[in-house]
Amino acid sequence: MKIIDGQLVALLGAALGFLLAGIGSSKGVGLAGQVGAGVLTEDPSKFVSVMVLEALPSTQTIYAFVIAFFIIGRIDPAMTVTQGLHLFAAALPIGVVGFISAIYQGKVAAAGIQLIAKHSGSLVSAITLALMVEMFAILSLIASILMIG
Amino acid sequence: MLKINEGDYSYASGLIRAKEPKLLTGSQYARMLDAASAEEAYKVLTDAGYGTGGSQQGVFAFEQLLADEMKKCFMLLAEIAPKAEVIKVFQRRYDYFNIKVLLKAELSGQEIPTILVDTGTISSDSMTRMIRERDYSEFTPLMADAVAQVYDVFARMQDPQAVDLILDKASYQEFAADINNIDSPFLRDLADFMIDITNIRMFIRARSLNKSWDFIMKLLLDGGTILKEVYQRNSDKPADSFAEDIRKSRYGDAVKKGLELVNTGKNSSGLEKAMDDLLMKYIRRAKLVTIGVEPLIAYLFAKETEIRNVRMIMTGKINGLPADMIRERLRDSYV
Repeated sequence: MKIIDGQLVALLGAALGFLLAGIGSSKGVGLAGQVGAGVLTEDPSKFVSVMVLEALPSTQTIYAFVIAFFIIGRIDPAMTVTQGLHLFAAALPIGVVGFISAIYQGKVAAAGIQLIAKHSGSLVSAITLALMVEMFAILSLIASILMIG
Repeated sequence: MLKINEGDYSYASGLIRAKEPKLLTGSQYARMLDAASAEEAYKVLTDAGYGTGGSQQGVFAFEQLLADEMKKCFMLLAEIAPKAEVIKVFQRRYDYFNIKVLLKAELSGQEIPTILVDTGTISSDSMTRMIRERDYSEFTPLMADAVAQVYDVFARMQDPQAVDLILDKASYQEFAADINNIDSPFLRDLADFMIDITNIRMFIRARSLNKSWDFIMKLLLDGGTILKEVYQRNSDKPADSFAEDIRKSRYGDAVKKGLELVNTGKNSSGLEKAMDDLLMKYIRRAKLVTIGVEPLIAYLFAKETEIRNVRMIMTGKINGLPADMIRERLRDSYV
């Protein structure tokens, strides 16, 4: 019996994509959360705005979850290593781009939280700036979906 | 070497950003300046949450209010800074101030004035005891050396000015040494900046009093980006030629502008203001830093400047000076 088969390769892809995006989101949300806690110490009334901004870098993990879900759905015990590698490759865009974009989005969100700490009316601008980074995660999600086919 | 790990400053940076809108604004300054009486101006401060409950004891005790406000600021920073040593670097300047006041009182045989501050690393009560008992165990080596030097020099020369000179120099020397021990380009550059503008101020003041190079040389602090030679070659020339010499440095424009104000008689303290405003302009760079030590230090400078401005306004109001006269002396604020 072979240790490495198509099924395992595909699963490794799903795992890698999810791991990378998950680590990135944790870093991003963690950073924004720390800055947010600082702001809330001084001004607890900003909780809702802080929470919205803090949550933004978590979407990358949701995207990676979707991809992992699709990959697991396509797994077939009889699949060849090449077929497995196709699915592995499909997980890379959301994994790698998700990892990096979540960290950077966390930084933008942290800065956005500081912005609303000074100007309460700037929530929309702060969210918009953070969503600019989101675009790359969305594009990598689409790329991964297209690759799964 | 004290490492600064920026990530550790996330919470503190967020908190400080939320504190910044509570610094006095232009309209609050305007209300204080246009107030009909000193009491009314004082009320703006208490409304803005100045001091602690117990320190709001009426307009003539405003110094106490300001001292408490500064203390509050240092306590906050020391509490939220991941490494309190970074804040202590800035607090030691107040230790030197207390030492100066205490030594001068002792050497001139006068009573200790009530201007001691509690913003240093050593409380004013402990400091009073330590100087009285000559117990320097909690002093830094530089502090203890400076105190010994003061006793020595005063015994020989009986010159109270020497006390200022020795302690001011030691204070900056300690500040620069402490900052060079912290791994932060922003702080190092800040130390250079502060040393330079202090030297420029002292040099121009000494020049206006026609002091010799021998005298000026003793005043100048070590460090900074402007070399001693620049001061030396201008030490027998008018202040304007010095301004021309440093025209291309980052201080050039401010020195020129300040000297113009002084020379045209518009504002005798114009140079001081120009240099302070230049420093504030430098400090404002911290606004671009989301997470790091910069927002904390910038807040400290913002608060110090605010308190100086408030002191000018309150003193002016109590003495009935016209608002415009006070206004033109106010330093630019951080926000």
